[in-house]
Amino acid sequence: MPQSDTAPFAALSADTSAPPPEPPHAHDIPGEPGVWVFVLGDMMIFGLFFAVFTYYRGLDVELFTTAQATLNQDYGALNTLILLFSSWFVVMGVIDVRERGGRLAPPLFALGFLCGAAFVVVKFFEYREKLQAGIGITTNDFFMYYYIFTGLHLIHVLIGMGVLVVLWHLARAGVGRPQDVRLIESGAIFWHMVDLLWIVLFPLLYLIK
Amino acid sequence: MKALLWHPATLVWLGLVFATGLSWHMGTGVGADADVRLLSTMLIAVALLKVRFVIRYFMEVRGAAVVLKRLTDAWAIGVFVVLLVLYWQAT
Amino acid sequence: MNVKTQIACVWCGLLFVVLLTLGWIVIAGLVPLPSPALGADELAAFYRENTGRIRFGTLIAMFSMSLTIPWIAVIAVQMRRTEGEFPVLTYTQLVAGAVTVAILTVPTLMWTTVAFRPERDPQLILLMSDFSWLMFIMTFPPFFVQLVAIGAAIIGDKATRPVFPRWVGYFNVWVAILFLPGGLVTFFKSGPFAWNGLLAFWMPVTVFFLWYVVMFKALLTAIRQTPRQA
Repeated sequence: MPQSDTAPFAALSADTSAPPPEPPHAHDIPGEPGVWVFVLGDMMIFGLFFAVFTYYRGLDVELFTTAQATLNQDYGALNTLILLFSSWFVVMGVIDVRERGGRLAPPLFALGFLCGAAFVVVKFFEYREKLQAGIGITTNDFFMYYYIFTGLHLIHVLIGMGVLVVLWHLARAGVGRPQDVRLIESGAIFWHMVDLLWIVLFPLLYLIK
Repeated sequence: MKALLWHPATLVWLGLVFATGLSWHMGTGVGADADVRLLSTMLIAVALLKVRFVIRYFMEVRGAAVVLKRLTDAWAIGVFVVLLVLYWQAT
Repeated sequence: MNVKTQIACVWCGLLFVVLLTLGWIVIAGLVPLPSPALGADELAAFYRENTGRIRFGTLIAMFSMSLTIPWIAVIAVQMRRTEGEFPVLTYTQLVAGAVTVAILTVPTLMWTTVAFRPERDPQLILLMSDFSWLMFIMTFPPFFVQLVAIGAAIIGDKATRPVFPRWVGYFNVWVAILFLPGGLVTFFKSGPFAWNGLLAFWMPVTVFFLWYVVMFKALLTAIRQTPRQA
């Protein structure tokens, strides 16, 4: 709890538990600034992926449309909804931590995690369906992009699930310092990035003709 | 708990779920005489619109510094324009 | 305190970048990479026509790669400051870094092996060439582990005055992830995921150089800000 009467002395001690003085615009950036380096960077790379896909699609529209027809669009849509649900849980969790003491946050983050797990399960069935039909990463250009981009996204989902576990831990430990709140916000921002990347990937791979 | 639910983010979320359903409906079961180019353009537009809402309301960029708003908007607009150009350029 | 030595180590990293560019790209002419789609005869012809360049360029490139050894060491020294009594991440970075030096050096020797006796059977040249590029591009794991260790150490640094700015930690994790597509080169002989492709080569190589630039600055700052021992 804030010890304003001893605050001037905190700077003198070598004690590392005293929070560093906050820069003036710390709260103008949700989460910590560093996480945005990662998130914006990753979004740029996926933007490149989206562009590369659409460019090569333009060179052989018929191949891509024919191959796309074998995709399970219901799985894709279901996964989009699953991630949206998970993002909502995470948003609520962050708000709970920040404004309401954070007692509901751990179960909310856990629900977000479960949604992530559901996404992985759906992907498992989707990939299996394709692989059992003999469609692999080298079958044709469309499926190359399909497997690689959804695969890289899936790796992000798995990393995100790890992040959600960390958030669950932090929330359970009872959030105290501003850095902890910002860390939780940062983790949430990563998860929302995973959601928004799929929001673009889904129509691009599954729907546009 | 109730107060938690009635948050702008929840309304945005409902909108996103609806938009997803709409895209799914538009993108599947396309009739043979449907204008696929217009449809696909709309799908891309809806997607990037959803993205902007996720960035603004979920990632809380809505209340953030202008530079962050500009960067994320630039990404959404940039991706939108590039995808449309490349899509329409298809042979 | 050996500030000057540490700074020299940091400059070795920069020198590596310069000499690698000179040797591998400018002199040897191995960038853009020979396409995996080339047939044995075409590939053999490439090595035959550029023998002198390749021999000289790979010599310089090979030397430059060992300059990353002091660079890796100074990263370890600064990382050490972020960890307590048991610096696992520091050791991880050190070991992973050492492996990356080997991974860079061995393919370089393969290129010079081919150029050593270019009148060899083209099929043998193809085999050695395939091996060299797969080893050079596909082996993302040591780089990945090295950079994730650095990222983890920086982000986990709980000191009042962190050794590195936190965004550098996130940057390292980002670069690490961008090496992942390199693993796909074994599947493709053309396209963006082939070893000469946009996403498996050009993108990772670009961020590889960017990483040196960012870490160069970050290390010099960290060294300068190291508190003097009493």
